[in-house]
Amino acid sequence: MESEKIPAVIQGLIDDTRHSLDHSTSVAPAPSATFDYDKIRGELDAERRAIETVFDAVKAYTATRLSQLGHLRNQLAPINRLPNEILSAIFHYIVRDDGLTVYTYIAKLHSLSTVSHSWRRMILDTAIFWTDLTRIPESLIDVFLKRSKQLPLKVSYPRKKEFASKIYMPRVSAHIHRWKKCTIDAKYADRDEIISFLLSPGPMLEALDISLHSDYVVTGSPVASDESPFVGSLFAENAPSLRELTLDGLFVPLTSSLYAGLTKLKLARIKYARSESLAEHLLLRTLEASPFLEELHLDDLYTTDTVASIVGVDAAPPHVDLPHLRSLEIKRLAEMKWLQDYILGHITIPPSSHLVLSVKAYSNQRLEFDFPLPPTSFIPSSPHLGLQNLAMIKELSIYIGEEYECRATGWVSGLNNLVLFTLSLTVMENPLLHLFQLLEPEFPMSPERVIFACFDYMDSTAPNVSQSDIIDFLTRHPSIRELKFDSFSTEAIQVLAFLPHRRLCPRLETLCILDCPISGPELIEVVISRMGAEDGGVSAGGAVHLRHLHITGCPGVSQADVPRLEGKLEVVVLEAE
Amino acid sequence: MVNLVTSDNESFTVEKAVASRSVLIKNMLEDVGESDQPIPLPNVTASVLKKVLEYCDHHKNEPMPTSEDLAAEDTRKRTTDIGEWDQKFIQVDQEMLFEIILAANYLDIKPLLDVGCKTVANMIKGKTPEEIRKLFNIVNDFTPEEEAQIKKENEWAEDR
Repeated sequence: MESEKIPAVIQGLIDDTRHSLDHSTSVAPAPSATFDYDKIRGELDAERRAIETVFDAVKAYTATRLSQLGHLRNQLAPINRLPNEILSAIFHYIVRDDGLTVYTYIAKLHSLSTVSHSWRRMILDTAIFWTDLTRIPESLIDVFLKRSKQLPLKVSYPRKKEFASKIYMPRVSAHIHRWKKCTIDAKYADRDEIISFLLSPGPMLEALDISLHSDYVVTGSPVASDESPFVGSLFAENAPSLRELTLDGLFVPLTSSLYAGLTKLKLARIKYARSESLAEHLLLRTLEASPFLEELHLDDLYTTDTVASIVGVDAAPPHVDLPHLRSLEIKRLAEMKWLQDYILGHITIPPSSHLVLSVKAYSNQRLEFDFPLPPTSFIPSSPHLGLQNLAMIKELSIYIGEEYECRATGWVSGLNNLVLFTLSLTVMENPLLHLFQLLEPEFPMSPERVIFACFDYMDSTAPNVSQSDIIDFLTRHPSIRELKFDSFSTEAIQVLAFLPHRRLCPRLETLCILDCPISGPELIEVVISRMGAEDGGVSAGGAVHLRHLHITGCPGVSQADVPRLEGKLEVVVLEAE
Repeated sequence: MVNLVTSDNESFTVEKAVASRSVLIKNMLEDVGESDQPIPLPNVTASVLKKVLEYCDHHKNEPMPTSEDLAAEDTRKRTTDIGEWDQKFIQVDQEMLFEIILAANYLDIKPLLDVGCKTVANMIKGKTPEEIRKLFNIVNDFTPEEEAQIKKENEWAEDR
């Protein structure tokens, strides 16, 4: 339509509208007068009403029609040729990326849903977008529950107690039958109230993570005890899909069916004080019920002497084969060593498993502290025969850290440096000695490469490293072919010169010194002691001569020292940091 | 070798290993057995199939994703990272991009479908609704009343 005709068309509409309004709202004739102001005013008002009516109608019509046309046109947009399931997958990549907060997540959904009608309809109708109820605001709980239709839900106990107990849990627990993942991180004091929401069956539940904390207990101490169990059965003992279970600070009897068929199990900060809790080897039976277990974490579990003395008396403990186990982590206080031995002594793990042990000893506790004492028949004489991964270890790192911590890490080189063994120890006095004592003879390894490392030794006070401890350790590992000292004391390196090398590291071929304070003359003395006069690099008794020396970042060793070593070794590398 | 015939009646003769990157073709080959019969692909044009076969040829020696891989991908956090070669491969105009996605979906080539979807996702990320409309030639088909209503629904986010 030509634009100059539009005013005439609109005027026509207004006249028609005014005509119909005049008929519908007949005004009483005004008394005749020379200037009948009321009449004129009435006519002007009628004209205004007609224009407003036409304007509203045109506005409404154009908006609707534009929307319809836009909708039709959008159907022809190339992107809208993609079927809904593909567009939905694209949206999923957008909203699920980068570990978004719930607000960003919803804002992104909202943004996509305001592009067009069809996108909005798809987002509102795609139930998977609305299944994560973690930290959603109150106003959206019912929206999510409705839009998620019947899909499984991800539920997380909110931090604010009032909101959690009065609003979130009552609404969300009404859908417990479709919970897929449930995470609860709350105070132990709220245990019974929380449990009251968890008593109905959870047929879709696949992952349950409950961590309860007390304000009054130091980290690592037990929170839960079998002496104060809660009333009722978690998920009415009906969660057949459950595969991942964390119970941290919550005691659930080991006879519960929740422990069956798991791939991940973590039990933490639980005290077993009643004899029936662990009697008849229930902990091992629990593992036996999950033959596909891939991860097992046992952190800070405690027993009393009563329990320890009863376990193992009645029946021979089962031996549990865990062929799928990828990670076994046991964190314990020093006095719970028997429990670690109890577990390790009765399981077989595959060679590729990562065994992580963490031991803490406070004040002057002895590490061999063995209270409560189990029956001597309870732990096998060779408790770690089932740890097949130990034989695979060819590289071992001994690290002394800050804050009384030291760590041994064993791995396989060539398999992406697959770590198979980690032993961490926190002890106030002489951590290296205690670490060596824990390693040997309990965890027999034959490493070919050993690294001694210390935290930033050059800038710090030297840690107390006993030469006799180092000698004992090296003597027990004749398989060592390469030794590396990283930020380590000169005294430790010098032990290599103390004994004939057929007795200490007889296969040592390579020595690496990195960031150590050793001087040139001290190093030369060590190196020369590892040399022999015999040909072929092998001395009497089958011991091998040192062939390679790498020195990096040692300010006490200079280029001037190197010529003295040339001709004695095949390779001398001196690198400045 | 396998003979593929497109919707515009063009023939492509390719290695079996290349054609079998498509689960649809792989299943057809398994069902039919050894045969010289051409395989008709009525939903794919020659220009698109040429691109798809370029992708399949490049990835022919890689292991096929198993159902376990696909299930695991659904559960783990999705990322929109795309390999270097794939990024260059998928630098095509929008029309071709959507055609490749549709072909990958029809031919059941999940890795190619993922590359296509991630590419579109990366195009959308960080853009406002208006910018998205402009990018994909979409018009705003909401009425002012609907827009007001949608804005009201999202007020919780502005109040937080």
